Amino acid sequence: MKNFLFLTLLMSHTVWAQLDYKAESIPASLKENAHAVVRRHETTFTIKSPGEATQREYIVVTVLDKEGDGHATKVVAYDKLSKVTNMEGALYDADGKLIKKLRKADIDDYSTYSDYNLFDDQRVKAAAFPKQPSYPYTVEFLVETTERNLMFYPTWVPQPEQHLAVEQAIYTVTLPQAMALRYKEMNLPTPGVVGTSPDGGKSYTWKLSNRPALEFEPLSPPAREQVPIVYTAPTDFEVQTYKGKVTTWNDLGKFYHTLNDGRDHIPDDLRQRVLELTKSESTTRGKVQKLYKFLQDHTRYVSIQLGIGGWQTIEADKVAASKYGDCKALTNYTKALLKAAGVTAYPALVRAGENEPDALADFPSFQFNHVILCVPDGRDTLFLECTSGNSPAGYVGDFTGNRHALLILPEGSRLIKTPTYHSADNRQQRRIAIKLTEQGDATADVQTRYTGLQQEPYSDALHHLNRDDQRSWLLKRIHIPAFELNTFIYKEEPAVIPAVTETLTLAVRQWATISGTRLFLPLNLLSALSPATPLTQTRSAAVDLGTNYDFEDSDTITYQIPKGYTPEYKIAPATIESKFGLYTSHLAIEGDRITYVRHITMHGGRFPATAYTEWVDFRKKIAKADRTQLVFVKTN
Amino acid sequence: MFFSRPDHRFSGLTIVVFLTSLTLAFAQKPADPAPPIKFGIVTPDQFSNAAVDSTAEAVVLYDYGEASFETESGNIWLKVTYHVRTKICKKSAYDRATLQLSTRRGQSGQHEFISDFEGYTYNNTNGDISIDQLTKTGHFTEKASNEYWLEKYTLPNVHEGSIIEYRYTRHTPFSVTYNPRTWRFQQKVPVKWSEYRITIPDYFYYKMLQTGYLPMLVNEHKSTNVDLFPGENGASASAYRFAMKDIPAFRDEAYVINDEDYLSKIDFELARYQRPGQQTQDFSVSWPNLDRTLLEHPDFGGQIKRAAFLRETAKTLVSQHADTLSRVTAAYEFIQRTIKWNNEAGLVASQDLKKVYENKKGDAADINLMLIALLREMDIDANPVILSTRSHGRINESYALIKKFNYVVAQVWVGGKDLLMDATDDFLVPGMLPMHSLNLTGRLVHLKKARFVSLVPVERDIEAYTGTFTLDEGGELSGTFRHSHGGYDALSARKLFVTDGKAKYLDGIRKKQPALQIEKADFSGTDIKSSAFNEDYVLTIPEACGRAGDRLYFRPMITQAHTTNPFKETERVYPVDFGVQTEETFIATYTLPKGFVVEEMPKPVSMVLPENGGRFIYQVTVNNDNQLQVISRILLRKSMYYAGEYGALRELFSRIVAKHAEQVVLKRGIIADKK
Repeated sequence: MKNFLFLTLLMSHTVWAQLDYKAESIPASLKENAHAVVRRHETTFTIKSPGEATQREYIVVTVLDKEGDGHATKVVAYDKLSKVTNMEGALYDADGKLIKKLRKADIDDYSTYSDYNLFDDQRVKAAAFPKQPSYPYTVEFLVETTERNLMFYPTWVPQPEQHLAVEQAIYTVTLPQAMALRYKEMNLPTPGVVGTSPDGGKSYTWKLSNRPALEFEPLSPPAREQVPIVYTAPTDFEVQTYKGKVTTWNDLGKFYHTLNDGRDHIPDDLRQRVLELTKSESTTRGKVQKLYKFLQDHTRYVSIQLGIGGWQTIEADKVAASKYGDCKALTNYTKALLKAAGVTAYPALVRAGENEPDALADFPSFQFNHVILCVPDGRDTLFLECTSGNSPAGYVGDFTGNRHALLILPEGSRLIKTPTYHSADNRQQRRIAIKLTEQGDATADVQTRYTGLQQEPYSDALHHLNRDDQRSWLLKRIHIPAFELNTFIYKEEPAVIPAVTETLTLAVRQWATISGTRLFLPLNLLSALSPATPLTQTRSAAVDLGTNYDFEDSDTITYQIPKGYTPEYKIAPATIESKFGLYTSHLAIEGDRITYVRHITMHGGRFPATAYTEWVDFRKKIAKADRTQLVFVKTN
Repeated sequence: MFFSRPDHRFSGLTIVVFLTSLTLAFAQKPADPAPPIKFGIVTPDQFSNAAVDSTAEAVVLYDYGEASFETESGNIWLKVTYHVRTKICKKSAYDRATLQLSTRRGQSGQHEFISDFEGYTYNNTNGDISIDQLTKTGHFTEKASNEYWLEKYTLPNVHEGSIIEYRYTRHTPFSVTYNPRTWRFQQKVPVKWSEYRITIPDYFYYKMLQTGYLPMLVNEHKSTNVDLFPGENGASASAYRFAMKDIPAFRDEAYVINDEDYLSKIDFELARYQRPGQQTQDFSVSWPNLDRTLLEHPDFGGQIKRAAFLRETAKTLVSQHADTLSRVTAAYEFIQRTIKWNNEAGLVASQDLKKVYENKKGDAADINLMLIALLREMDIDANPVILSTRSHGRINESYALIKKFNYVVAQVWVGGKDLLMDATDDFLVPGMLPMHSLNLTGRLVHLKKARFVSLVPVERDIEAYTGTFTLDEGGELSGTFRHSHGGYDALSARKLFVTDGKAKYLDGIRKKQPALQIEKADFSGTDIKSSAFNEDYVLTIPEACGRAGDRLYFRPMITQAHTTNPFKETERVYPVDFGVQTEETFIATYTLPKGFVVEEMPKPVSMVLPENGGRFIYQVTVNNDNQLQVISRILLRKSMYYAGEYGALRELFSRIVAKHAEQVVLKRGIIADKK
């Protein structure tokens, strides 16, 4: 034992001495396009038992310019189940000369109070050096932690962002003989190596070296699909008094079920209320809608993340008393309400967030950050977002829509897909009647119906802003050169695909320009699209058009023009088609009444890098078509 | 309803200074205008009478604070009791049912703390009012950091239509650096009644600064007695009461730099403190007093007297340059080059300037005070001008307060005017202050010739576009185009160019202006000594014209037209603050394709803002060589436009947008019917 200890000390000493802190020894290829270069990054995760592990992270970063200053700090999160046992650091100048060692006073310790959480036990230790006047400079940190919540193992992302180069990074996981590691490698140049650790257990090692800085291209896939990454996860684990074993999604579901089972008791008076509310409803859907409305009217979301690392819900009867809870508590409470009405529902774990990448379907592990409620109804399934005060029952939007969720069942938990919103669900249907004066000024009556994902900003504005702020918000969305917004009305239609209807009256200054005997009329008043960012360098990443590119817009605009004008030329109908969608527009003229009809359907998806040129071309053609103007000449 | 008084400078921004030594009592109103609100008692009518704005997410029905000074175990504490009642109208206001109070940790065991917190939620079901009380499950205490703790309270059973109410007392150890918290009458939602009372023993002499656009309904001051120190038989004191009624929500507007400059509120600042039998502790009271305080301060006045460590440099610079202006410039460039700025503001030196000089880095105070020291070492009469940066809020000339300042620059009097200098930024020149410091007025600190100095910059934001193009009959435009940046625009453009490098900068232009096919690009004037930073392009615009039959329809502003009016709101309450004056010129000459003549073109326009506040000139002409010439010139001669000038400013932009959209019609052959 004594010998072993000595060996460790010696090893760590060698590591520290080997490194050359001189900035000039960084290869030029790594400095290109980089704000900082990770010189050395060693992460060692040592699992001692299913319930205990330690982590040692050693990192040396050379900061090249001001934008790289963020890398000169080290932030470590911890909570009741984890502990920071050691935190050291040092600062070196460009020549590798030591300027300063990290002192205790340089480490801030604070709670994550600025978060949206009302209460949790998350805390942070943050170490930083004073701002340096000149570049480059180098920082070094060593952080050692112990972990007693082993539901999660680290995810190794040695090059987490753009403009950051990596000279050498290494990740080692060691575990006792009786334990097994599960892992998933992505975008790695060389796969990990399995070895044996001194005590007979296994050790896994991943390495990465000489990675130049990246720069993400517009519309490229999420970072995690482009950067090297290793996910690791436990098979056997313990957290507080709970033991788990996860190799399948069913295992994970079972664990969550055990953690949260039997917490759905509600008081009798509430049970009576539920029965009263639903007595006239004969269908599952009817009961769900009544009770979901009841939930939305009487409870509110308050984030209190406590208990088993935030994975165990507050009991339903407590929510019944306080009328608030976090996502787990409100989902569990709703499940309890439905149960009282004889409707069975199941929680579904999901990775929520508009821009959050989906959970990895082939790597069963605790990847989720949210829970929703799933109500089977014959061949249909209703998904309920229990933290939303406004969503119609069954609509989950782009917060949790179009992705995987783990349906929690007592037996047979499995991954399912949440609702996908297709182009036809996300519409913007607009009808405009415009009357032009002799001066080219216009009054416009605009009626637009937004559905699905396209109604979300409108619904949000309706529920969050007062009338004056709604007006200001709306003014910013209207891109007409000069106008007054005279009236605006919104009407909501809650449904599984919700809609918002907007009615505006606008007074537009000189929408048409009158010059001498001519009248110039731009045809597309409100829906013109701009061109895409052109390509200035060779494209390497795939083109990723997210769900907000699944939409269908239509505009029908009738213009009443002043008497005595005839068109100077004809405009042929336009059809622009590509793999991304279809655009059509055409014009009909009957005397002083002109009708312009435009339609566009787009389809999101993943396309090869070479498709970007096509994308730019498609958007350019649409932008040009949207700028079409008609010129009239006064004939009398 | 908002109050705008367009005809006054500082329209409506009222500043009143109350001194506790005033004995004048304000006339009493016969009946107290305060609503009869008692903690814990809510009647059904209070649920319905909340409408100030029926679409607001919440309405604060009652916001009350009462502050007094008390002694507990020999120490003085400031004790403030708060009572707040709010109607929750929309779900988006649920956050208001969770209260987060931070309490400071003091040295030597005297910590700020909250006591007697009580909270209730009231719900009205057909006239039946149910009450839910805050219990300890809704209370969390969290050690946020070593400096402060958080008390969090979340009220139960809150939904749309609930009234929530809470009260608590905050106990703060008295300290000369910790003044009573600012009382804000105005909030993000409407407030029906806001009242603040404070009783101040005459031992303390506080200044009270009221800012904002709204009138005070109650403004009272009475003499009274308090028993602060045991055995001293009471002390005379002043009891103040301030209240406002039916206060509209505070709304953000574009081009407002700092909301706090306009919000209705009262600030407190300790000016003097005297305990009986002890010496008076004096804090900044008058301007000369403030000047003296700073000049006697070792890190301010103490640093700019003379500086031996700069003596050699001073000698060299003096020997190399003959006249004052070039000596000043040389000193400025020396400091600018030698000392790196750490991106921080500063009013007094962070450490001894000799140390700063050795470390070659410092904050704004270190750098600019060193510049003053160097200039003085060169026998030039340089002085500090203190100011408040834009994000730090305005200073007020009738009110001397050190805490309102956070920045210092250097001043010399050359050629009959003030030359202000800030050596922090590598892209600045003498006479030009960075954007963040352009905040109306600064103060020249001097024992004899102290005064206020205008910070409104002489330097403008200048952009000029000049182009010479040939248009072909297919509607393609080609030629040379120059984009020239002057003044503040040169500062930002140069900075970007130097940070990005030529390739990336050009890449940015290509992405921003996809219509341009740039064949050649040259950049000149990248160093700060040049008057302008120029971008010269040889370029083509493939589809510059619409085409139909024998005609071409051409937009003569090409890619530089203003396409939308930035001022979309009809009304304006607060001034539009651009910081600097602007000037934008576009001049282009187009040689028309052979055989084409101008059939129609935009009429010239010239529009001016009242009081010569700005102008727009636009003109299109054709010369004998069949060349079309366009001139567009936009001048904004004020760095700030008051609410009363908003309408005209908005109209000016409407005209610009309309004019820039107009087109020229070109036709092949001779015009048949020339009218």
